[in-house]
Amino acid sequence: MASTYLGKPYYPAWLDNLADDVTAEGPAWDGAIRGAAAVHEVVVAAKEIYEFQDFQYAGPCGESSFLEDYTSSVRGVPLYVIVLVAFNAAGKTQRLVVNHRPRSSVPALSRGDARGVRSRATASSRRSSTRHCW
Amino acid sequence: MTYMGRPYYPLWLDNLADDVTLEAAAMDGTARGADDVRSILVIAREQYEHQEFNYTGPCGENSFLEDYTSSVRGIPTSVVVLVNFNADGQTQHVVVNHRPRSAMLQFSRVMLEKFAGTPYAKHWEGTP
Repeated sequence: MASTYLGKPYYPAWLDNLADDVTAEGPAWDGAIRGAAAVHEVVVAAKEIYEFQDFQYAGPCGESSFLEDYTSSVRGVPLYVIVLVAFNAAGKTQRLVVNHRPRSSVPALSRGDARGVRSRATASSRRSSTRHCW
Repeated sequence: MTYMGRPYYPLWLDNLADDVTLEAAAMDGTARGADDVRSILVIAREQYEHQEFNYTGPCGENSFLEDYTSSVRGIPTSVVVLVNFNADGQTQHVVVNHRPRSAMLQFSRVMLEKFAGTPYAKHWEGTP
């Protein structure tokens, strides 16, 4: 999966710097995913079902946040995403909000995410991230 | 509608470019043009029972972010709004993101109810 920003490969450094009590929310699921292991697992699974990520912006937002604005597709369905990352005082990723649109793309993403996460959870015997009504 | 304990009004709403666009997690398609975008946003704002802003301010070089909590018909929702400005400083592109999933879908159903029978209804039709 190609992930590019301004024509160069892009990797979200915040993903490798999650606080132990990081939370992730979004319109594709109910509830908050809590904890570094669960959040990391879901983000990695989501990235795997993206067919590409073309970033329009990835950079600072306000004093202690970071914004990603990118286009993608899942199983051929176009998807637009805004990710808001809030850092804690130690500079770790404390809160993640992943916003997918349009509305009709969210069910496809939810189904794909759930499958990906479930298969990972089964493999790793971790099930905490599959309880969020995908 | 408060931010840091004071009344807040989104000034960007009064400065829409003629060809402004609106997208949202709760919508399908893109609303285009100042009249259409304003019509939708005004009705959307009327559905909020309150708005408590955690952050409103610059984001990057030419964008503005709002991060707030609200409720619609008693259902709590959290919202991130990203506003992009054009070279003239006018609001060019607005993206409204409701969460969680159940609140996003409920908001979509409410908007369909409000715009039923109008050309705008297409943005919320088919909501499960």
